[in-house]
Amino acid sequence: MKKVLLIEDEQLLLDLYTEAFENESFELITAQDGDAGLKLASKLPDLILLDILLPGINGFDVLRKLKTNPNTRDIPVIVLTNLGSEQTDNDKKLALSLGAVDYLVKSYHTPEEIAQIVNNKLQAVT
Amino acid sequence: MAKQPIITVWEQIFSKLQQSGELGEPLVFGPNYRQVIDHLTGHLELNDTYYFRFATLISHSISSPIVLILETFNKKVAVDYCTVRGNYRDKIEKFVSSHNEYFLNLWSGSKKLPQPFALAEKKDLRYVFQLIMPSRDESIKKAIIFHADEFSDAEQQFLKAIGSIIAQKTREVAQQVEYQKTQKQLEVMTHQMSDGIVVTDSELKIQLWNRPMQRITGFAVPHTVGRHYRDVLLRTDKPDWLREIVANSAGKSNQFQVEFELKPKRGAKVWVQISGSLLKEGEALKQVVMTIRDISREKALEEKKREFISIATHELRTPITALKGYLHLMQKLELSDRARKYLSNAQSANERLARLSEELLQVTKLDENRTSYNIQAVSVKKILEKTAQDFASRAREKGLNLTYEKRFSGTSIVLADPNKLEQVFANLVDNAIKYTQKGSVSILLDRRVDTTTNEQLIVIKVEDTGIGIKKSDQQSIFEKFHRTYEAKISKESGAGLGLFIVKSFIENMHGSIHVTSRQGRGSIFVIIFPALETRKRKKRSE
Repeated sequence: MKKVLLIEDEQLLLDLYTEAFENESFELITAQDGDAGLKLASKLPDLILLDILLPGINGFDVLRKLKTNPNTRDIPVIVLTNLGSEQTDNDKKLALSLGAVDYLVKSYHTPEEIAQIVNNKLQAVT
Repeated sequence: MAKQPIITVWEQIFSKLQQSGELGEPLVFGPNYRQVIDHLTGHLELNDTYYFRFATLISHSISSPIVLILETFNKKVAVDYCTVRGNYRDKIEKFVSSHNEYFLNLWSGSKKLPQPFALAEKKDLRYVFQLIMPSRDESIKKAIIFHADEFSDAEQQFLKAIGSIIAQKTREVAQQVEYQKTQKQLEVMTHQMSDGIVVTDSELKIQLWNRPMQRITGFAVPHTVGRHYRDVLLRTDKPDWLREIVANSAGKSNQFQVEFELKPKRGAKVWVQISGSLLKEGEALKQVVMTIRDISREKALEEKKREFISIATHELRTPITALKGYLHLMQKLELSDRARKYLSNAQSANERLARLSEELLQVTKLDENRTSYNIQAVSVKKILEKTAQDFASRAREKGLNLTYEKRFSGTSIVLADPNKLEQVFANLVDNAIKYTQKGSVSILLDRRVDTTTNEQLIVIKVEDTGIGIKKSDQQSIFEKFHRTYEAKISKESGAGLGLFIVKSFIENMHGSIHVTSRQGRGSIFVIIFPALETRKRKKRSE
C-alpha cells in the first residue's frame, strides 16, 4: 500500500483528513510540526501533503529541506494551505519554484477532491 | 491756612480707609513720604491679602504737589503691577507735567484763582489726593478726593479735575493690565494645552513653538524660535514637506492636514498628525499656523486592531474548513430528508461565514492600502468566459438564462490583477443571479472609444432582469456594509461588503464602475478599463 505523509498542525483538520482518507487506497501517516514531518519523510513515503503555517520551521523551509536532501527530493509534495486568497498568488509561485507538484487551498476543495488529486499523483509516480 | 505736615494727611487717609474696612490693620508710617510709599508698596508686595494696593507720589519734596493714587484691582493684577512700579511713577510724572496746560486753562476760567494753586508755582500746591475705590465689575468705580479742611471750593474743583484726569489715565492703565492679563492667559493656554502649536513666518522659520512641542520633538522652546522648520520638524522621507505644501497650495485650499513619522531630536520616530493653515495676503504667504498631535498611541492601536482582525480571520479559517469538510463527509451518509435539509442549511451557513471572514480580511486590507495587486496584461474575454462557465449551473438551477457575448472582434487586453478581476466578475454575476427570480443574466464584453481622450476602452456589462436598485440606493450600494432594504428582506445572504470590494479593486486598477437600474426591472453594472493596446500605440507615437 502506498504511504502518504500529512504534515498538519491543526488537530481539527488532521482528524478530518484522517477520517476522509480512511477508505482510500493509501495509508496516511501524520506529523504535527516540521521537524516531526522531516523525520517521517526519511521513511520515504510515496507522497507528502504539506501545510505552510506550521509551528517551528514553516512549510516552505520543510519543502526546501526535503528538496535539498537527495533521499527525499524525489518525493512529490503537494502544498496544502489555508491562507487567504490574497496570499496564495505569491505563495503558490514560491511553492512551485521550490519544487512542489501542486498547491491547494484547503477551503476550496472537499476532502474527497483532495483524495482524488492525491490518487492521481500517486498513479503518475508509478 | 496752616501748613499740614504730609504725614498727617496720610494718617487721615488711612484712618478713613480703616474705618471703611478697606484696610485690614493699621499701618505705621514714618515722617518721610518715601518711607510711606515704601512701606505701603513693600507691605503689599509681601502680603497680597490686602485687597487694595498701590501708591505713588509725585513729589520731590514735602512742599511740592503730591498726587497719591490708590488703585484697586483684582489681587493678582495688583501683584503684577507692583513690579512695574518704577515705570509707572515715571508715567505719572510725565502725565502731570504734560497736562500742565490743561490745569492752567482750567484755572484761568476761575476768577478766584487762589494763589497757592497756580501750577506755575508748584511749590504752593500742597495736598492733592485721588482715591479710587474698588469694584468687581469694572476696575474703577468712583473717585473720591480727600482733602484737608482748609481747601476752598476752587481748590476742591481743581482737585476734582485733576482727579478725573488721573482716574481716566488709571482706567487706561487698568485696561492695559487687563490686556496683559489676557495675553498672559493666552500664553499660558498656548503652553498648557496638550497639542503642539507652531507658527512660522513667511520664510517658514519658527515664530512660536509651544511647550508641548518640546515633549513631541525634544527641541526646547527657547532653541527653536528663528530656526527653519526643516531643522526642528524633521521628516526624513520628505524633508521639504511643508515647502511642498505651500508650493502646491496656489489656487487651492489653505488648510492642510498631514500625517507622518517625525524624527525627534533623540530617540525613535513618533507618528504625528499636523493640521495647519496658510495665512496669506493675496497669494503671498505670511504665516503658517499648525497644531501638532502625537498620534503614536492611535497608530499602535490601529496596528493592534489590524493584527487582531488578521489573526481572527485566519484563525476562523481552520474551523470553517473543518466544518465544510465534515459537512461534506456527512453528505455521503444515509440521512433522513429532514437531516439532509438541516445539513444543506448548515452548509450554506458555513459558506456565508467563510465568505464573510474572507471579505472582512479584504476590507481591512483595502482600508490600510495593503492590498497587493499583481498587475499584468490580462484577457478580459478569458476571465469572463470562465465566470460564465462557473455560474452556468447555478443559473440553470434557478431557471435563469445566463449568457455571455463578446460584441467585437479583436483582443480585450487590460492591465489588471487577473485574480482580482475574476473576483470582481464573480461577485457581480453572483449578485445578478441572487437578486433575479426570473428572466436572464447577460454578460457583455464591448469596446468603445473615449470621445474626449480618444482612448480605447474595454467595457464589461453585467445585466439582469432582477429586483433592481432604487435610485436613492444606487450610490450607496458601493459603500461598506451597505445593504439595501430589498437585499435584506430577500433570502440572500451578504454582509454588504462585496460591492465595496468590487469598486475598490476596480478603481485601484484604474478602472471605473457604475450602475443603472430600475426598480422591479433589473440592473446593469458597467465596468470600464482602458484597453492596453491603445497605451502601447500612444507610447509609440509620443
